[in-house]
Amino acid sequence: MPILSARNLSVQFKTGDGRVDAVKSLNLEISAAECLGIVGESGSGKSQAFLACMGLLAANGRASGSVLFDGREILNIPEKKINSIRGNEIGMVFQDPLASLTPHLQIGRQLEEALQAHTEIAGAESKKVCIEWLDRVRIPEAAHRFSHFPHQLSGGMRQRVMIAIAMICRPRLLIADEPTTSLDVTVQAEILDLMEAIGKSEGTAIALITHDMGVVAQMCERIVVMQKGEIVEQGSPESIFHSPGQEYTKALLDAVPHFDKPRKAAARRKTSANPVLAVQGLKVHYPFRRTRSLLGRASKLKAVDGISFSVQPGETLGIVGESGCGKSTLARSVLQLITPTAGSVSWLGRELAGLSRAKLKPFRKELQIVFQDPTASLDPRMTLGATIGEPLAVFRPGMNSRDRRRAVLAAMEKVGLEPGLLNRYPHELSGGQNQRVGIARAMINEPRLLVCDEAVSALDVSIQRQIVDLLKNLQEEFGLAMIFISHDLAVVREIAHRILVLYLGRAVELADSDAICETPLHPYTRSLIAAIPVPDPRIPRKRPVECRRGDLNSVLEPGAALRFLPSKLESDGASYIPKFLEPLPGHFVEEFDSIHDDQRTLATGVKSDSGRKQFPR
Amino acid sequence: MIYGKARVERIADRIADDGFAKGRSLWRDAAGRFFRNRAATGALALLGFIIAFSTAGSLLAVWSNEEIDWNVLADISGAGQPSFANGHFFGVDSLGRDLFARTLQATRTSLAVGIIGASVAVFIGTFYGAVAGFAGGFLDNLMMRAVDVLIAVPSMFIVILLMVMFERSLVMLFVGIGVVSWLDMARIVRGQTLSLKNREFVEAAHATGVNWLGIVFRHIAPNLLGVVVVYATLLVPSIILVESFISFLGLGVQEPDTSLGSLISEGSSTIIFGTLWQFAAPIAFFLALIASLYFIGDGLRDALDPKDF
Repeated sequence: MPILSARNLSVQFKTGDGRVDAVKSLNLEISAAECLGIVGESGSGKSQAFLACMGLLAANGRASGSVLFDGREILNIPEKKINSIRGNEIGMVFQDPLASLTPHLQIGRQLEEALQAHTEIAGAESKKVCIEWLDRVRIPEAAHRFSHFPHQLSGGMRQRVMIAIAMICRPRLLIADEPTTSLDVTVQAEILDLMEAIGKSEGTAIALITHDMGVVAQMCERIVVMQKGEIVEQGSPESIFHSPGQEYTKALLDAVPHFDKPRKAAARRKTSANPVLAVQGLKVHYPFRRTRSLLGRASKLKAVDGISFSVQPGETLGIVGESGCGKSTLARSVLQLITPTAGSVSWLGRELAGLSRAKLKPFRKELQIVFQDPTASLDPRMTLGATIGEPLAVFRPGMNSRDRRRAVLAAMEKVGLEPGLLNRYPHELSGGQNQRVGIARAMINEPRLLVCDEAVSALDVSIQRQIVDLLKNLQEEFGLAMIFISHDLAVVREIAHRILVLYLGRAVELADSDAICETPLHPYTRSLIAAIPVPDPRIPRKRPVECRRGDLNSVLEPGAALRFLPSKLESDGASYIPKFLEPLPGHFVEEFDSIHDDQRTLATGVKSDSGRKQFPR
Repeated sequence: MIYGKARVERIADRIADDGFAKGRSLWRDAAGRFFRNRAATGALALLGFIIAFSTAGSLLAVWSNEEIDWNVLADISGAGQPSFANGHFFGVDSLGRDLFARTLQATRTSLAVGIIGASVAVFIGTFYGAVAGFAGGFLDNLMMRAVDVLIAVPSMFIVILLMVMFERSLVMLFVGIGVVSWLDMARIVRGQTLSLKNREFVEAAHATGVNWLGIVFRHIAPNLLGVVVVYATLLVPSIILVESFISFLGLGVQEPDTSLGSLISEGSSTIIFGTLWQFAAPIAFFLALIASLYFIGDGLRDALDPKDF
């Protein structure tokens, strides 16, 4: 007998534009201890269906049909009755782990709250149970963390706490709504692993809602594909992935970047000897005060700590790293939006670092940036036409309005925006369309370098793919040099010719895209690659590997730079700066202590090679 | 690439010639949205009518605002009633002066004090707050601590002091009220500017090469408008009230000139003698004025925010 079964479940919203059918007579069953994946793009109604089951619809929403949980009707039952089921028999985990925890309550208290709402357990006993659960979700030093506040934990830790809260009453169904979408890949792998393990040991059914096919491939026993409020296809992962029946499913699968079988990056133009952009030993340090004592000891937060790279004309350099590794700071300091503390940035041989705003202005025409959040990076009170045309107004003030409008329309056509959208405002468009506007704005003056700072991370996979294709086309057309920043190595591989891997503000590896993905040398790169979910159910998920345990270390820890070089930390102390070596031509890697013997020969062999080339710093 | 160049040209031409793709501006859009809002449009019409009436209405008046009609002075609650026959459309006040002329004159004064005072406050406050917020750091600290000190001094006290120290004149009244009311405005604008300054679209404009004046005028100012407009329309009535209070103390507008505030206070003190019109006429104008200003402010806020429809 299914634990949850929905019959003709429909959800409607009353909006200013009339009635919107979010879910259309959905029929769905989840058996006990089953892991069901619900996949679809944003707006497909996958979240709304489950919010309706839980009686959590927004005020203008209305649900009809029937939802049986364990044989009892739970749809549209009074608040009091559903409360005894919510959190007790059905647990929920949401996307944003920060927003779902109350900021001013200790995490232990929040756990106890969930426990005491549904059970008789109280006092010392309840604290014991909570610590036990924190331990089960693999939070290190659980007893100590009990009295921490949410802001003291990293994103991954908070999501673990959320899982503990959802599971503490041992529910029979866990609804996880995009539980790992906002997390780094390595953390995502750990969280998925954890959910699977707890689900198995407790016999809990899991409904995993996501837009990412890679996530459901290895975890779920059955997959439901939703589009526009309806189920278009369902079946085993095997059948969905290897013989999809519907066009929509195929399109979704196609959009997933396959790390193992990447699509080709744009053809590289003939590389000249002179790079367009050369960055040397770039550092961005922020003064930082530890507030534990009254006076505090001022120290430096090394957001970017001595990074060197160059970009050839017509080339894409991918920059990969997890949140907090300094990717965005690096991008902004290259464009002088943040003043670097030290180091040089030279554009076509001319130094940019240290120039005044006015002197930088002519360079701004050639160096452009596309931001992560498409909607936030557009002025809410400017029409798309005005936004795209603004760079023209700045650099070609003599242009009359008719010519400017033509140029704007041509740019919109190039990025695939309907001309009729000219007078729309950002909030009237989807994220994908807004990102196209951002790209059109960046491209209208035909820059020679485009920096994409997580330009596709906030978008659905299918839209992500369209934007990546668009960027590749633009690059082929204009011979543009690009810096493509992302936390997702699979996406970067599809667009980048060379890849730079960052870890805690330092470059750990730099090589050709294929070299880095197929024969990574640095242990951190290896762990990044191992964590990428493989969108193929036949290949079992790899466990998080080797040297990387738990969450990202902080840049503030002394010796953070020597994380992979503990031997030097012992002998020389934290002041030692690891060298950047070139063991293979064009393949640079930061020094590290090898873990396996075969690596040791490689690493030490390199060190003893007197003819090795050192990366300039 | 995606489309042929010829096609782009063709489409661009067609669209550029078609009226529909004329680049709309924020202002034109805002005007369209404002006039779709019936309450706001009605309020604007009412305000226009009050302004027109208070300026052109004196042509209709039979009496001036300082003449005393000796014929009705003996029996104000009887013969002083509103009547068309003797030309006192709104009746007479307790000294036998024509209330119609006095109300028109008072409305002019109050409107002028309110609008000029609010403009002074909004102008100084917005500029000061925007500069402090945008500059940040030391300058911001210095400027805002100065505001804190000024805010700590009772504002009514400053106005009264100014009126006593200098000649009691209308100009001094404007200056005095404006000078004390910009402080709140500066704080509000500074806070908004601070949050806007760190928004990504400002960074994007910066990366585009827009200079700081362009950023302030094209990106920050339009996004401040909503707050400024609402606050300004709230400020006008409150300034009218401040003026009324000062006039009540005998420090504001001097007789025979008057303002709505003083007329209302006079009218309310004589209401027990059955001269209801002495209270009703000025308060009707006062209420109409303030309500229309509130509605217009509300309409402007909605109109200036493209997210509202």
